[in-house]
Amino acid sequence: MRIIVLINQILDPSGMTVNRRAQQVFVNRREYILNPADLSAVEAALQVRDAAGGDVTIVGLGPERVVESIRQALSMGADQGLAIIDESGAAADPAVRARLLAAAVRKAGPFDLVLTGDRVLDSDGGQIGPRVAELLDLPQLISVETVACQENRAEAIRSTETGYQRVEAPLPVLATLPPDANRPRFGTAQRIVNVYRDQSAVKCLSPADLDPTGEASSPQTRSGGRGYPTPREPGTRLEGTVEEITGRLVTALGLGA
Amino acid sequence: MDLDHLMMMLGDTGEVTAPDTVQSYRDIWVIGQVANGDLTACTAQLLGKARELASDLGAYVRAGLFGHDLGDLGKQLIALGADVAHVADCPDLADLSLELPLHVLGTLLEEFKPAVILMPSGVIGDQLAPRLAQRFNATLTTQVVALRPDLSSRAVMADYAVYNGEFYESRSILAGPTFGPDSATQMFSVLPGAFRTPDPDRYRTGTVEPVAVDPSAVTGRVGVVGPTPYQRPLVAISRAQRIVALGFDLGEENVSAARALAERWGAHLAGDRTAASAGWIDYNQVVGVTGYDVAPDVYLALGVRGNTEHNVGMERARFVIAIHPDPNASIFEVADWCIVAEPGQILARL
Repeated sequence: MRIIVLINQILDPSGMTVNRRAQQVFVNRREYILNPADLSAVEAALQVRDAAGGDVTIVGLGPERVVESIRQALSMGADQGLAIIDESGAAADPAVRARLLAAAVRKAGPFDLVLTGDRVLDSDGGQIGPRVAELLDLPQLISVETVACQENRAEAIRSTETGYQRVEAPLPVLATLPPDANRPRFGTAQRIVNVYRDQSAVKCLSPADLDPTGEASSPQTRSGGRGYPTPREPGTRLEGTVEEITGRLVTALGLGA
Repeated sequence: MDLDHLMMMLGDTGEVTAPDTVQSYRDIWVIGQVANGDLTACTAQLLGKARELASDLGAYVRAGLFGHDLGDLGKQLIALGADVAHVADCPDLADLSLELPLHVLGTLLEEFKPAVILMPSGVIGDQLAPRLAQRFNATLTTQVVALRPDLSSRAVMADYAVYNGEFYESRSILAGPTFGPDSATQMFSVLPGAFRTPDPDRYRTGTVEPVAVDPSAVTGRVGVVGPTPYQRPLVAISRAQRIVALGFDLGEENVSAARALAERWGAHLAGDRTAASAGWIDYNQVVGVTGYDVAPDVYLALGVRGNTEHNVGMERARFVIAIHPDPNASIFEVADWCIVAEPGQILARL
């Protein structure tokens, strides 16, 4: 069973303050983390591998620092890492991103399962999963809670309005997971040290290796400019003694008696 | 309205060939979604917005609708602003996540070459749209919260939500006009509530065109096995109706009182990241961008300071009561009832 996980690296939102009135984003701490949905995709991949055998390859696309996030996935237990280092920012365009990732998946060799997150916090990158599925002509299982593979089929559970539903598709297949699908494991200390010592743990490629003509990497769109949601209407301040306030609270919350 | 279309209507067909041979990109499309036998609110909002864009950019509005037992929903699409409604009614279209709806939508795109397509996010906007965008080399923006026409290039610009809606990024297309032969479709998957719901006009006229569906055209690879019981490994605070949220300023000594209150009131316990770091709640109970988005009926915040990361995760709550000793704490910016007090004092009397 060969599994490929596509990951994104994002700026940690807990190091960031958004002031909607001043219409500005203040970054207090510039730290990058593995996108939470992709993290649960890594965990799902490791679970499939632990049950069915095989190996897990992590593929990341972004500037040089994406290697750090791939190392994090490796320390959780993934087997190989492949980074496509793109400093130009052309991969911010979803079509370019999908084409480069699909090319990387093809380059990584034959595969049975491609996993990724169903959303990316810092962009609308949730569309990358289905786009890659289209490029590789794979059936897609979107926003599933679990994935399991038996012989030549992948089985998944997804949530619907009326409860959970079991769906299946023949391998190879692409599946995406929401950020809260599972509880991602932590790497053992020994593994973390080993992964960081091993300089060649992550293989690096440039977009030109995957797309020599440069045709696939010309963006169709441009991102730029920010907008801010309107702040919520101010609420009422409850005045009075502590007794009066608690009295109102007890009634409002229905805690009496 | 496109120029070549206009010329044809004026009878000036000397130089301009008929539009169906020109293969020109035209019209603004809305793909509707049905829930419980009715159009979703988001579909109505999209039609209202499409109508506005159409009058700014000069275009017709066409609507597409897929599903089963659609009744006279086609007429409703017209009433809400469509000029033509294409309705595909077939039992095999009941589950939109499978391959047949993708095929039907793809056929429509090929035939009509829409200049702009608006879709509700969800199955259509987030599962079908990306595949079709890749297939037809269209641009796609998901999580859209605002759409603006650029009148000089006759293109549409979009704002989309990032970090669960903490702020928005804008995206525009780089090259070419939106309308005309040398173009590509611009697709947008729009979040519900982004636009105003229009009032239906029962006297609006338009045509409803049934779309022929051939279920044997696609051999579906994805199959539904059936319903299954499943227990998520994480507590789903996302669906809680009542939440008691703890923050660091609550103080260690009041945590047990807060827990007891949550139990007595039948609420889920949650909190911000500082409460999780202090060990008062589990990491899967954290509200915020890196935790969970919640939308309870009542959100009681005890000693939560309310940094942006936390506030974004709970601002869809219907009623927020915040208790914090600091009158300048930013939780009060999103609270309906602001109580400036030591949370411990209030807790002791509840």
